[in-house]
Amino acid sequence: MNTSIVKKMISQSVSVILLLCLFYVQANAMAQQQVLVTIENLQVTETDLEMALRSSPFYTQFNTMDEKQQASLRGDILKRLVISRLFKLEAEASDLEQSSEFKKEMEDFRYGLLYREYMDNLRNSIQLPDDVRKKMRAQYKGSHDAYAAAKASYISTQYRSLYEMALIKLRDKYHVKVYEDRVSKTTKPKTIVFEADGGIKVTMQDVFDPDKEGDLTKDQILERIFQRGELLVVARAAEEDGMDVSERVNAYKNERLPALWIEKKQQQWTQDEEVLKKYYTEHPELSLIPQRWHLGMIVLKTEAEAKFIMQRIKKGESLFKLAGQYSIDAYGKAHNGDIGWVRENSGNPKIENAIKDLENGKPSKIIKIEKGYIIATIIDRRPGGKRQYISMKDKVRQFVINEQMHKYLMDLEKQYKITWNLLGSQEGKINS
Amino acid sequence: MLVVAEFIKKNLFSIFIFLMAISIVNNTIAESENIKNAWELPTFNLKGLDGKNHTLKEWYGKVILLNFWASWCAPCQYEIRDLTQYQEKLADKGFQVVSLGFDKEQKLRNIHRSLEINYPVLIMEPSNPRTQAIMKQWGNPQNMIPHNVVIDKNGEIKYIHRGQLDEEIFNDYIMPLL
Repeated sequence: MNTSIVKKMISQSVSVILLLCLFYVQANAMAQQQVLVTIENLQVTETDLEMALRSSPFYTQFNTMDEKQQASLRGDILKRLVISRLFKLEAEASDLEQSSEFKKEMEDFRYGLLYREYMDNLRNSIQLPDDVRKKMRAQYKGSHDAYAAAKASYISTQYRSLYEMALIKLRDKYHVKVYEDRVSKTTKPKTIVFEADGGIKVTMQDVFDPDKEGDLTKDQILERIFQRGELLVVARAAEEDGMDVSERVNAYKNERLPALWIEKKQQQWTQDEEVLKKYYTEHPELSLIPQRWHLGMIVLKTEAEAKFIMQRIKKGESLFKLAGQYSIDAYGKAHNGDIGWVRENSGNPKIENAIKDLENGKPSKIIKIEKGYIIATIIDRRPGGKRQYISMKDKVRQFVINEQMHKYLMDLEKQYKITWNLLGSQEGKINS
Repeated sequence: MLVVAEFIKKNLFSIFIFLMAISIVNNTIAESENIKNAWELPTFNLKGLDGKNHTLKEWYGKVILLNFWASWCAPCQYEIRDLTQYQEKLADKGFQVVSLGFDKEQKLRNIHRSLEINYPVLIMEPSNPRTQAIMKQWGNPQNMIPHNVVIDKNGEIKYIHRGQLDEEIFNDYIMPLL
């Protein structure tokens, strides 16, 4: 069967199925944990879909959409979530998760979360005393913005001193040692430059890469050491205080792993320049720059009217002036027959054929179209051409990725068991 | 003095902007301070999403929160979620949100459905020539949204807030009126 027909069929079936699914899901909005799709041992629930939707940049627009548009958008996001789960399965089956870079990224993310949680707790512990609040309220009566600014300033000042006190406390508690004398641009990468109780260590390679950052000063390197050390010590304190960020780390991992995986696949697909050049050669239509015409046009209802107007034009009257008076095309009439720039192969083929070889400024023959009878003219033209490979390499790369992605998703659909929990027994598809 | 002159010279543009901002804020405050009682203002008559025309006087005797918003405004949408909850909790105490939405009717309808708004939404079509005048009357000549006006049971305008309402403002300015 023709590939485009298959694609079309898949596309149509997906739209219908997802719409059905989403109407069903909306009807069951209360069942937040409802599993919409299972992909092997992974799931996409209603909550996952809702969270993805809420964190999308178009969420504000989503609420303004009609029900059908909303369902279609939800369907699209659901499809993306399923694809993301498939990539996760693929990534897990590879060694990506075990790579030292990935492990380090996850660990750093965990430290970051713990640090933030610790500092947030510190900030949240600051209460505006009642007497201060009353005083501020009285002082800024009627001006909430001024009150809010004063309150924020008070909390900020309190937080600064709390933060400094907390760091001093932690420094003493964990017996922090900074080896400033060991720091120089030639220090060996594994040299320990910061140490604290509980096995906390910062080495030179954690904060400085001499190959990439040779122009850093000693003070800048020291600043990084202090920052890294502070991060590790505060994260340790947060853990000892019972703060648990494992759920958020897992959520991040579930998002990051598929993203890294597909990044890796895309590099694989396009790293060979010859592949890109071959695609460019095999798809000449991509590099084609169409001829463009600045078109003038008058549209008339009957052939007799068209003939009459043609005579007037040939006698020297302006097509544009006549279009402004008599054209039945509302846009053309409003713009005195100036239709603007049109590209080759983008409009009515009958009109294009009639104007293709027309001399600039001359009227065309009368062209019959569904709407009526047209007399056209070319005001100006820009010739077509061909874009060179080098000037459209990124575009070619994107086309190769799209083509490979399509094939890859088809394979994944066959390889993994995907169950769509939809109305009826239809099967969903992701690759449309 | 030389230092001051040098500072002014270097920061002339910033100072100009700062002074303009102060002037705008002061003007806005002045506009709102002129308004004392809602019932003395020219009345508006706007179509609601229920298909009927409404004037503010329909809610005479209630504590009214007049909320100006638009469908494309994200803070307005966050605020609507809170207002819907307040309306549900406090309707029995005489609290009434009346909202004026700036947008085409269909978009307002979609928001109304999506966010399950439980208070009246009156339509201020962008093409409505009275929009600007209504905004100005209610202390908002700059057309900033969200914009909220708190009116007590006697029609006295108690508070005008530009930007999203938060719980503290609600507790300080609205709850004592109920």
